[in-house]
Amino acid sequence: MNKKALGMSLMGTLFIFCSCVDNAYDLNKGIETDVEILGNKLPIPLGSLKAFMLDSLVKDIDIIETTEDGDYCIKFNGAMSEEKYMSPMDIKIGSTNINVEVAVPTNNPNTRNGGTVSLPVPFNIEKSVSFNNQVSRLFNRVYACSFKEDIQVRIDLKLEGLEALQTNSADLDFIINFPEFFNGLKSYDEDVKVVKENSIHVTKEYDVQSNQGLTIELYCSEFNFEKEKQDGLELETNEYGVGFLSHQSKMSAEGQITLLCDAAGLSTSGTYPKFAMDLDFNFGVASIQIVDGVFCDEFHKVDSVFALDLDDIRETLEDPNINITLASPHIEVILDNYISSPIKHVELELLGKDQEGETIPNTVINEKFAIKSATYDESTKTIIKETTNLLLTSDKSFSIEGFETIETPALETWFEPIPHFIGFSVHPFLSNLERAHVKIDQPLRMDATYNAVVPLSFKELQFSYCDTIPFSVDDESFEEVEQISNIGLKLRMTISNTIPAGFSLITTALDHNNNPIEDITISPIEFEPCNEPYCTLQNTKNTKRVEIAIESKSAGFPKFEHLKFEFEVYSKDNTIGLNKAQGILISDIAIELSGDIKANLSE
Amino acid sequence: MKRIKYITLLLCMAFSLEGIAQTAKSAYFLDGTFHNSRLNPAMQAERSFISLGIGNISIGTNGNVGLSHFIYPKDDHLTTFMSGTVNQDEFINRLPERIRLGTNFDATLLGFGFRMLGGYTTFSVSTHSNTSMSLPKGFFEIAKRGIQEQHYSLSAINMNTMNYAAATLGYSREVYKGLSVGVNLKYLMGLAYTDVTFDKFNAEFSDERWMIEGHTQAQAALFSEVYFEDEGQTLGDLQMGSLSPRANGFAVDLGVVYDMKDFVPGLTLSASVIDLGLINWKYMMSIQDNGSPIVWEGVKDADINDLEGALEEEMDKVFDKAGNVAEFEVNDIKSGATNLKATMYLGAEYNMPFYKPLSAALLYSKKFSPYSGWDEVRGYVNIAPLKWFEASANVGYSTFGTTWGWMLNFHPTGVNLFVGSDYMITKVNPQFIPINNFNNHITLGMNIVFGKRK
Repeated sequence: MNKKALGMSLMGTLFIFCSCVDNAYDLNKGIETDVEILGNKLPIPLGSLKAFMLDSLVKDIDIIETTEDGDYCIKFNGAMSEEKYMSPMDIKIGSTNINVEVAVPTNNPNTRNGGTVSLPVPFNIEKSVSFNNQVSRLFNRVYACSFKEDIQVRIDLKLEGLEALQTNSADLDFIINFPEFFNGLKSYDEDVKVVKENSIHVTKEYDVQSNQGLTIELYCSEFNFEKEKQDGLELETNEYGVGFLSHQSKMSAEGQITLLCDAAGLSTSGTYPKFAMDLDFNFGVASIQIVDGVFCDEFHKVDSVFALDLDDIRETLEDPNINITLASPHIEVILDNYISSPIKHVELELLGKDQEGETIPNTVINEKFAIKSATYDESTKTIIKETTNLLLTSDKSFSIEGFETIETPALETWFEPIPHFIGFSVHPFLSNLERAHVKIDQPLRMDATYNAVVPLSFKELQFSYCDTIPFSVDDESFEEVEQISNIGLKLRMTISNTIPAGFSLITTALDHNNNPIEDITISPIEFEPCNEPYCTLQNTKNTKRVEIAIESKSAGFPKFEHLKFEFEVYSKDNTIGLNKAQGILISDIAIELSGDIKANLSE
Repeated sequence: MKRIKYITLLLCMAFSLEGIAQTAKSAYFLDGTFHNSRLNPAMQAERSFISLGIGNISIGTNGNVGLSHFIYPKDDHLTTFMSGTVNQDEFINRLPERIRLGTNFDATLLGFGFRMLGGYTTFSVSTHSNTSMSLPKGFFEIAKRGIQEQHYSLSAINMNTMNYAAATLGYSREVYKGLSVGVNLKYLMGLAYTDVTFDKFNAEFSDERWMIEGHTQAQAALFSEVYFEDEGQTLGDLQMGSLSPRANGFAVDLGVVYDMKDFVPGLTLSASVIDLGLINWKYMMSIQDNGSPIVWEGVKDADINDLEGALEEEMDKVFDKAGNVAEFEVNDIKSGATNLKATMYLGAEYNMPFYKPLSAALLYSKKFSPYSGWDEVRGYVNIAPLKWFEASANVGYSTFGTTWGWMLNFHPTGVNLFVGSDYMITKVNPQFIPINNFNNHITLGMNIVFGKRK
């Protein structure tokens, strides 16, 4: 090989490495500006919303109030007052007024029933709510609004001025008619009987002198608006779209009050060897004795029970001797406090005393009353926490002669062991076959107040709530983007619901004229009611991560400026109670692009 | 405390020194060149020379990506990698793990070399500029695929430029039979230096929040005195003082060449390490951000009817905080040293016994740098068919991909002309933008040659 030729040829190969031009990458051809950006899994966190509390809906509805526990309720209250001069009279409680009929029980033919006084009583439920209905929110159907099962309805009646009758007690006998929508009334009080679906009959002995009023406790299970609706009930809405019943319902009562008179009120005319009287005494506890070696801190002993002055009675009696028969003798011991040990017995001592106050020996009656429980036939009874009435009974009857007064200097009770304080009252009943005349010649003032608390709860509730919120895209933010196509959105959020009602949410995209954009579909969501007890936003497990898919049917994605929410709230079978602490919390809201963003970037 | 604008200022100044590389590696095994002592101080030129201005000019760029990585032909036009018509995997898989780009400039302003004291002595005054950038592949993966994961963690983001002048005094001699050693002693004068490093870049994209957290630190220095105007509690504008050099340094190159003629005739081994040194900048700014994450969690307890307004308000807060994060802290202007990026060369050449002017050679080179380092293996075919002419063709495989190089060197008596390239552009578009990668390089020079060949 010619070495020089070889060298020259090798040198020539150097120029093989010359560059070449590829016209495929000629930038003068123009560069397409369509791009896909951001991918399809980019979540954009938006944060959380204020908790939507029920209270924000009902706070301006003055008819709805809250209890101490925050439960929503409707409170009814009012008062009545009237003063009349009456001499034996009847008071009747009519449909719109309370008329109290006072009947003095007697077998004296001269006795007559008095006249009637009508007392206008605002015992009506006349709450009507009128709301501004200009806001574009809807409220549809309310089927029934019910009480929770066995919710207490308490009615306090106070008959002020009745003590002016100067009698001790009265038999109340009247009927209260509740509005039609009160259904399912129950009473656990023997003196209060439900006579119709929404009426109660009260027969009760009433202490006129103390005149502490009368409390009637009822239990109700249903508050049926549907029934009321049939009677022309109208439904109105407030500015928040919450509807409430506008109606006029009436609560009425009718009946009579029979006055029972004590000795001080007896008429001096006529002869009544036997008389009826109702003695009502309260005794304090003075000392405690130890029985069976059980030590107590202090002894409770009733030193003085009562003294009955028989002078007035004697004047009406042909025979100064009085036979006292404990026909239905009992001593009622009301133990207010906790007693952890059995009560052995109670002793009652009756003493006949002469004019000088000396005790007449043969009038002394010492009677030991055995304890007989109304529910337990035992000679001893252990009393526990609750207030308990014990009947102390004796089968014996006895007579006392030649006395001026009867005293019960001591009523001794023995307990083992005894707590620090025991309050009890003793009601010895003396009976006769006749009742005396009672002259009632006093003005009567009657004041009655009522206060009813009705919890607000619902059954088979369904209503709709509709609203729109602005949701516009700032065009200036996308000025570099000429066209966005094939985009979908996913709106994710965590919802916590403490309202015992489920809901569904239907969302619609609106254009700038608030017309629905048909090309955009938005998936609905459903949410279950909260069935947990004490369901609060802090501890509820009724939390769910939901996703709303917003998709465009067409290639382009029309911009929308508003989102319309249709909110359906429902409760099906269970009766639900509402509380101001209930609400809905929406948190961890995020928007995710569900498809690639194809954009054309302006040059 | 000053804002990042000063960094930007210095960056612009640094990049204005756009230029290129060191002495061509294509000339490493050519005996008729006069600047190989820059690659290996033990190498001696065949004759004496003087360089004035254009003795050795080298310009080049390096990159492991090119136009075709980001621009795609589509029908009769082009489209970007962001187009939906470009397959994601195709784009991502073609990218290297770290995107590397760099520019180099090297010019000898004055130089001469001659024999004395039994060896060969050189002296030169030269300027050097090296600029590099490193980006993780993940950045482009996010851009193309979009946000696919909740958490991203990227690191090793760096931009660096070093610009300096050097006065080099070199000496080499044969110390044993066929064994030559050499050393270059360099006085360095720093011109401009900037290094911006993102130590970490963490991002979280979830339903609950977006979070971007990173740590950035930067250093910048100039050759002259710089200071901030004193405005009491705050710093005023950046001012330049006297232009007297305030950045001095020293470096050394070491090399050895061993002709194995006593063992393997025709085989020559060589090794060198160059740029072992540093520059001390009297006025260096060290800057770092406060490291606070930027967090977006949306709004808390917003009113649904004013959600848009609440979002805007919250965004303003986040942007304000982001602005505070970006408001870098200028620690101080004080002296600081920067190391040169040393380079190692290991070479072997074998002259063909059947034709001595023809040789085959292999050169391994490695640059030491945490972000802009590289490795390269290059194979050579060298030929010197005439006493005054020689040429080299070579192919290399490196961090920047496969490349071709060549060199033509004319060295008759009186003058030396050479031209060549270590990174030959194999394909460009009509606008002369490299298509496959941004590697390109050209070196050329003219020297006055005198004296007898060794």
